[in-house]
Amino acid sequence: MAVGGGKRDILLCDLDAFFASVEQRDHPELRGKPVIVGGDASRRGVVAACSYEARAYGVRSAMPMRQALELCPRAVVLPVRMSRYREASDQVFSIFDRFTPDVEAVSIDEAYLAVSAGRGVETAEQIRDLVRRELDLPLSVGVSCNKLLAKVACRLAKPDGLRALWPDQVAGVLWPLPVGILPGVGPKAEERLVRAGIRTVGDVAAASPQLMESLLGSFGHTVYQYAHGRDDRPLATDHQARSLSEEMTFATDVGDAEQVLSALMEMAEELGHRLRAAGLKARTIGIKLRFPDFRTITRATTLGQATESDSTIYRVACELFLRHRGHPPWRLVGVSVSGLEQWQQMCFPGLTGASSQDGVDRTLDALRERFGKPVVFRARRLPPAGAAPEPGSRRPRSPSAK
Amino acid sequence: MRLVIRPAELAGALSVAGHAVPARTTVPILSSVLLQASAEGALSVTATDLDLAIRVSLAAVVEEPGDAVLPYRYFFDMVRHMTEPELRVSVDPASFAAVLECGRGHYEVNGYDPSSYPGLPAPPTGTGVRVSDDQLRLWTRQTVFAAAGDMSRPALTGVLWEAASDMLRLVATDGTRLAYREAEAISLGEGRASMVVPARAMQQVLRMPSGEREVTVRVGSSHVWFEWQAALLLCRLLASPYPDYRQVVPREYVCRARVDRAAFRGACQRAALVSRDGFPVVRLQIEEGRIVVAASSPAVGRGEEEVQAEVEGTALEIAFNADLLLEGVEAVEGQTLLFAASGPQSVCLLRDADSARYCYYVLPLRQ
Repeated sequence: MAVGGGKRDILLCDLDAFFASVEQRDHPELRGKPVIVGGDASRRGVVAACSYEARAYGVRSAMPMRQALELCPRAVVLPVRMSRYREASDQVFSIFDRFTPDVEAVSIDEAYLAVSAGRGVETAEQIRDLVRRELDLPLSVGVSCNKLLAKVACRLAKPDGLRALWPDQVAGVLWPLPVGILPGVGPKAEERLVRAGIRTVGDVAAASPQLMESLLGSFGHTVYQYAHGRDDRPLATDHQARSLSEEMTFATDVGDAEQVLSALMEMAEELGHRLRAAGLKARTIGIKLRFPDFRTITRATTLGQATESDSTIYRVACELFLRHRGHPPWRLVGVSVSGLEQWQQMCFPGLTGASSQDGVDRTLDALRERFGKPVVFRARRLPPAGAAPEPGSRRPRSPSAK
Repeated sequence: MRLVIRPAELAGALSVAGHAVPARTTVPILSSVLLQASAEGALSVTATDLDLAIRVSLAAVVEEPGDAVLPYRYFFDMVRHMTEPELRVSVDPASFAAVLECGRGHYEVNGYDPSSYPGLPAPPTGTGVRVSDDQLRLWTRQTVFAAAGDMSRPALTGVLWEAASDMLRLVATDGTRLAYREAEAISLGEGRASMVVPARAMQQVLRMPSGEREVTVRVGSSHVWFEWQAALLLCRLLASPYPDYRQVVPREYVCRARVDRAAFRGACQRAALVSRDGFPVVRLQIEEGRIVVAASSPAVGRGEEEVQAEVEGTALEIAFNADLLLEGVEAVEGQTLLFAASGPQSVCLLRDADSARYCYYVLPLRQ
């Protein structure tokens, strides 16, 4: 059931430096030390997560490992153990479930919860206490009456804190903050705004919606609403997830369509994996493209039969991209799947000849579970010859209401 | 050609034959019906799309024998709207146009040269096999609905007839469920062990005029003929080989439930109403002494209903597309239904508790 704002308190629960915290918990000798979880430096791996001790040296997620080790040479580097993190994540989510059925999983380490109005802070304290005592993991919680303010409150609460941010505090607390605190305003968008003289959230609130739209396209209107602490996005709880999506903002705008196709494949594999993990199939596949001027388009196609297959999602996303790509370069590309069907009719395998691609998908899933992310993937994802490695910043977004 | 006939009877014959008139065709004459009036006082109406052909005969007062080909849609619509008891049809053999006179109405319909209407393939010589009309309709009703509607596996759009020495087996499946019927042994002709009859032809069997006790089945190298005294249905056989259906039959069942078929059907029908999310989902919870039929949908609500059952084996919970389940429950005969499951994620069997002559295998839903 979609949970509207107003009558309920919204909590954003975010596990601090999640992968690194799990490793520090499992290896107590690493507590207090800079820990980096991620790929191998000699093979141009990237940082998947880092402990707060490592962050003090300037290490950040998605940073090339080589750079991270230059900043923090004495960091302990550990490989990604995804199945271990999923297990810990499941335990945390089962604690959430004890308090409310209305949980929207944003990612493996982040979730929105809706509870009765007035009980937000008390519930947040209890959840933090349980996660600390039962699982020995640090959790930050932001509390408010909508997702935006809960998210900002959570950022302010980190690390390992609890913070409420109510609408009457918007002018006093939110407005002095840099505009980059707002969700969706990344470094590029922030740079644009700063050039236009908009540095703080208060500057956005004082600007006209028209100016914001001219700077950031249709997203500018949303940012303007956010600056006033307004956000009417409902919670999309698990049992009625409407869509899953992945998107990737390129570190530098990309002019090579081949590179976009590689990104589409990576996201298609991720979405296929998430669909299969959730036992869902999708009827509709869409793409999102953002150009350097922030003009953003979304295009979607509905299939005759629901799919969970990486290659089908990729093929459709590719067709949509090739048809609607416009003029390069591209700043952001995303893939979404919606029209999710929970139940799948089983088929007699010998009679209908289940596609051999199903086997490929499931094998990739198994390898991914075992080794973390990128051990085996389709060759499409390899960067084109001569292209520089492109870490990008990927942002899973889902499940989201549509 | 000149004849007098009752419009209601002619309309009935036209509506049956009309199922063989193609909806779209590049051969214009196929949108017509062939009328043949014989000196023996019979009129036959024939339609074909070159794969399927239907001919229906009826009594008429034939004043002058002859043939005519008239556009099906116009002719049928006119005839079925006539309210007077007598229709006089006269066709000018030179212009092929028909004059229809009924009561004070007078209509002229342009026709085609009858000699340009495609001839039907000739049946093989020999007597064919005689089958009870009731039995043929029963076998058909129990299997044809399970055939595939889409063309991705052409063979599955047909019903398999497999002749063994002691019985005939009819099988239809769309890949999610399989209907299996054992029937009395008949020969499909010299050297032929099986044939795949298109489901659309089998569906016609159910629409043919009833009232005759027997039907003669003749099988040729590429066609099958179903001949009644007053009607003929013939169809080209599917050439694609039918997959080995025996592999879907489970070796053993972990749970068997005997349940009153009408009570179970009612519970499933009502529960399915609650869950309309693309397709209706019902969950069966099978445990000692009962089956609980449950359904829920975030948009509509929820419900459950208990049906008394004799259950042996392990308790289990299993979910189905209610449409697939109910079609099987309807097709099974008898008062007591046997429901047997080989696991919560594998094939289930539905059949009459007292007879294995008809078996409906259906796959559940996976979450």
